[in-house]
Amino acid sequence: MSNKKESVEQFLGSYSPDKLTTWLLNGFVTQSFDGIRIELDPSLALQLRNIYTGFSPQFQSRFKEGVIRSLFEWDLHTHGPQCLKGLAFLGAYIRALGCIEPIRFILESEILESLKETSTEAEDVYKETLQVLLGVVQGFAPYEGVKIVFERLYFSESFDYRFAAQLFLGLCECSPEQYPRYLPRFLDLQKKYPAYYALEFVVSEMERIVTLARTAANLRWLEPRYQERLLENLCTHKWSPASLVGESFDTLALTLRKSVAIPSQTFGVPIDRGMFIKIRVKEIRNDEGPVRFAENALLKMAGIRQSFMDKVVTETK
Amino acid sequence: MRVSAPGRATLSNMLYDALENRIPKAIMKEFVKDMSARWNKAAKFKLPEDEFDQLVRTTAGGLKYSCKGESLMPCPIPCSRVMTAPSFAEYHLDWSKVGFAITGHLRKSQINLLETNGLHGIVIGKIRGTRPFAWVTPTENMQNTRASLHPADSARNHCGLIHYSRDENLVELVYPADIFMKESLYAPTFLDGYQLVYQSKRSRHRWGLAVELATLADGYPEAVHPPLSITGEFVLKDLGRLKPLSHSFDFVRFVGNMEWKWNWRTKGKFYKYVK
Repeated sequence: MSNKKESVEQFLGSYSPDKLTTWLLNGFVTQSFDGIRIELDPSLALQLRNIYTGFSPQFQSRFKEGVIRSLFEWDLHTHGPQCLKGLAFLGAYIRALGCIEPIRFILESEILESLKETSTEAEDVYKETLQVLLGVVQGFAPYEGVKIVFERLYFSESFDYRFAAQLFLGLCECSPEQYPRYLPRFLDLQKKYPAYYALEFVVSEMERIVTLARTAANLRWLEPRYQERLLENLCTHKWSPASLVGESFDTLALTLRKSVAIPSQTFGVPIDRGMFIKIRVKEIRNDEGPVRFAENALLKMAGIRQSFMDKVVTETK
Repeated sequence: MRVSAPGRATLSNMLYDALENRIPKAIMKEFVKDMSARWNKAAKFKLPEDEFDQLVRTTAGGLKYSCKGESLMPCPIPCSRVMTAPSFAEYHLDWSKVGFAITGHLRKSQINLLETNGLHGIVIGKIRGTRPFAWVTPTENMQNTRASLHPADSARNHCGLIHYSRDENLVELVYPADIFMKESLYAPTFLDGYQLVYQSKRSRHRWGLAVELATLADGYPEAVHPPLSITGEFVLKDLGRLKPLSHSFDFVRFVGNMEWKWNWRTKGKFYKYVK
């Protein structure tokens, strides 16, 4: 028994699609695969992924088909949740897009619901299995199929709220500029069930997926109370100068967490934002290093906005 | 098994563990008995290495033949475990809490978040490998590794982790300082390390000693523990990306350097021991 990729391909290559499916299902049930020596580390799915990368492109396609087929054939009582998780992880690792369909079927058929009520341990298994299935589908975003599945689940009243963070971020990945459509529901759920989500992780992920520029540009579509909650949690980690330099006025204003809700007309001065930032950035371009550069940019922006505010106050008087 | 260099290494390690009393005699006797029975029944085309693997991996869910070395507890030495970032994520991340997508790798920004925000409330499961135990090394040694120019490569080299050969991100899981004052910790034996680049060797404090992949010298001390639950008290540290291994491991030289070598004379000694 050797794990040389050519020899694994050779013996698996002689398998019919049925036999390959059985091999995968049995392997994840028994945690050992005929013809393959399992190492101590990493996980089974990662070891299979490592072997898969050495297969020929033709056999990679066949192997992907085998994984998808196994997911379709998976049965809770025959194969158990551990096997399902293994197959789903493998599907994600080898980028088998076709996995979305059997997983959607499993999610929507509520097969796993029967696990929930039997014991605390079974409840944990249920949660762990479901979060893996959703995470795998989420990993294929922004593929259109993901959006369809996730929107249906996210806005359904019967779906388990514990998985809202995954659904929310998956939807953000599919349509980043539409985050104001998805965020209120997540923030409401988070307020109601704070223990279900690690907010700082979710917001940081949202920041990465949506980007500060898009967050800023679409912020006005959020109700003020949601804007405030988003801004409270945004940029809590040390911001990177790279994420700010060259960004729009909106982005810089957002990171300062001030006055973003006030439209520019409030100042009574029409501002060409693009031009505005260009001029300012040009003025401080001679500064040393990118960190100082971005810091100065922020300070200048803050100062400039303050002078606008002063102007508004004076004119109102 | 003596036909191949890795097989000879396993036999030599078995010899060392037996003759240096690193494993209870009763366990060794039982193992030899079980292995002989299994081998007598095995199909002709089967390799002894595979029968060995199946016996150790499957008997009593893998529990019968793991963590059978000398007990090291209570152990006040802070410990760390080196693993790949995807493996950490698959085994321990509560995906529903952090909302990360599953893709087979963690982004640098995600690892940084785990490093800076900590693991409180977002980790689940028990620490183990595909068999029911996990390897650790003293955190003190890992501090040197973290200070090196390429921490991931240094960790792989000093801990003898030859099976980490892909271009992947390694992480260090730092255990709570006093965890092994209460939890079990054992010196590794050939039964734990037979699949890896492993030498049975006693170090200071009775720990095992890894093999440095580059020089074949002694690497960092190592020990094994049965599955234990991960909690928010654990800390994750990024070790950066691995470079592909630049050389293949010289198993023949490695076996040649071993303290006890499996040959007709020592074989006799071993059988006398297990009789």
